[in-house]
Amino acid sequence: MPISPDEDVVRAILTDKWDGQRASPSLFKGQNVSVSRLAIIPLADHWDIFRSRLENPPERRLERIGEINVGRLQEIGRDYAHPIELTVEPKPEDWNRAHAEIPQNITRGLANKIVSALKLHKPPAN
Amino acid sequence: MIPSTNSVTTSEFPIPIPDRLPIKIDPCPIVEAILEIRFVTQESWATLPGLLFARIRDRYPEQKTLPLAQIPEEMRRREPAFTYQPLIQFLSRGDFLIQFGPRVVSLVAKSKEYPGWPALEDETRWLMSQLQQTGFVSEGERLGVRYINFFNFDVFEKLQLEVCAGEKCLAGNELSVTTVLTRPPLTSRLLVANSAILGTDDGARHGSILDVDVWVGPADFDLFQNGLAKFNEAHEFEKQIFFGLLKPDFLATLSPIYP
Amino acid sequence: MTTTLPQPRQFVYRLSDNLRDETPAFGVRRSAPSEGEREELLLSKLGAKGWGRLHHFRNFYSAGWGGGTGKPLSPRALETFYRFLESARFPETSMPSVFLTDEGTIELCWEDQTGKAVQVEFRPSDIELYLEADEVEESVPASEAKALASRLAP
Repeated sequence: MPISPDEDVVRAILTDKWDGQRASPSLFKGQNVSVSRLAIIPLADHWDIFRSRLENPPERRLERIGEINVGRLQEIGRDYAHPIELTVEPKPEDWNRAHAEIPQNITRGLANKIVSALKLHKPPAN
Repeated sequence: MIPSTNSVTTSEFPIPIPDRLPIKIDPCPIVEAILEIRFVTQESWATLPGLLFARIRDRYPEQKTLPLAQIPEEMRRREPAFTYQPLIQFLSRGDFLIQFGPRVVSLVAKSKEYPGWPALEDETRWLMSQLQQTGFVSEGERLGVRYINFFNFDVFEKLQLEVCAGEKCLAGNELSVTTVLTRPPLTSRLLVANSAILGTDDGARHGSILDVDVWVGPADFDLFQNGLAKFNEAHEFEKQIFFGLLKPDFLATLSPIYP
Repeated sequence: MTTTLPQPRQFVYRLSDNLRDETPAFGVRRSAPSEGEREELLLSKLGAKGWGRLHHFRNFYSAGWGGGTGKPLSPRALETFYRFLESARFPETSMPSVFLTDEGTIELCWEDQTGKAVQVEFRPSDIELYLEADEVEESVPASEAKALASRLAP
């Protein structure tokens, strides 16, 4: 059962996908792209969840969290030159009960549009 | 510097390549021959030795952990010099041993008498078949053949190779020369030194080393499609360099046997 | 007091004392063949940041990074990347960004002179290209890396 267009989802952006200036389009390219639902776990709690699972300091760090509204995501998919109906399907994991996936195959061009539309959050100051 | 006789010298390649290459010489100076495969894998090191050992245990029943394995993985990962070093050896009663690390596997001819290229090739073919069946090699990164030769005299006197400063040649000095020779897609590192210590079971020996390492890079081979053919090419190039360096009158004293 | 790590492996020979250099020289080491040229290439085309990122991808992203699913950097993809970079020219206003994908391939992103995205992904056997200006997505064989670089030059 896909989640509501009203929801916002986030994606972890680590060092390999962020160079201080640009985010990698491969963040959203391909099939079954992982996202996480802010309706289940708030943004503030996502930092520790992502860090404990994905970081490997000092080389690989959580640099940003990218946020997008599901409805906006779907609009981008529909407006793309090769329209596609994107959905976000819940898929809770042991390490993240807010985990979800975009089951459709997202091409590089579409991924580029999605990444450009992300709201980027910086790590909270400690 | 490099006179050529009975050989073909292209303007690009600095070593004269003999028309004919021996298949055997006596005495044979080879003290170690290594066929090495560098690779990338998705598997962690913890699982790899078991995966390989399951395939080779009948021929290589013994294992020996190497000193580098004592260093924590996190430290090894951060030191580029350790990336392609083996951590474990698999031993047989025969002519070969296998060295294995997180990014490297090599076949080493360890017997006191070099068994010859056909034997090395056969064993390599078998090892590659076992490797393929383990499934852990994602991609080959480098494929190399290295021969280390030892002479108990100053080998520079017998080589078509001189090092000079101005008009004076550095003869008789302790000397080590390392150079890179390329003939795409093959690259070779040649090291010649006249003051080296060979560690052997019979104790240390002092003399000269002629060390030739030939390899191809990742874009120039497909390990399980043409790896063996590439090993053959590298071996052939190594022989050309080795025999091309020897002065013809010195080669004549080694009772060369030609195919 | 300084310490050095032990020798990585036992060689069948060692050079005599006079020929062997055992003094730690932390600022200097022998380079692998072509390594110096490639370092220069990375610095000149991608800047210090791009050079540093690629160094990290090569040395610190080993098997199973990224929560266990990340693939190590493909040596063939890296080789294709270098061959592309040798012939590549980028707009003066747009220093490219370099990324490592979860599949172990290299991605290079910049903007053309009209500000539109140009993205190139170097894979083991081919190169994937995206040009936002024309909404073009295509693949070319890895062997055409140099030709592609010429095509994309400003």
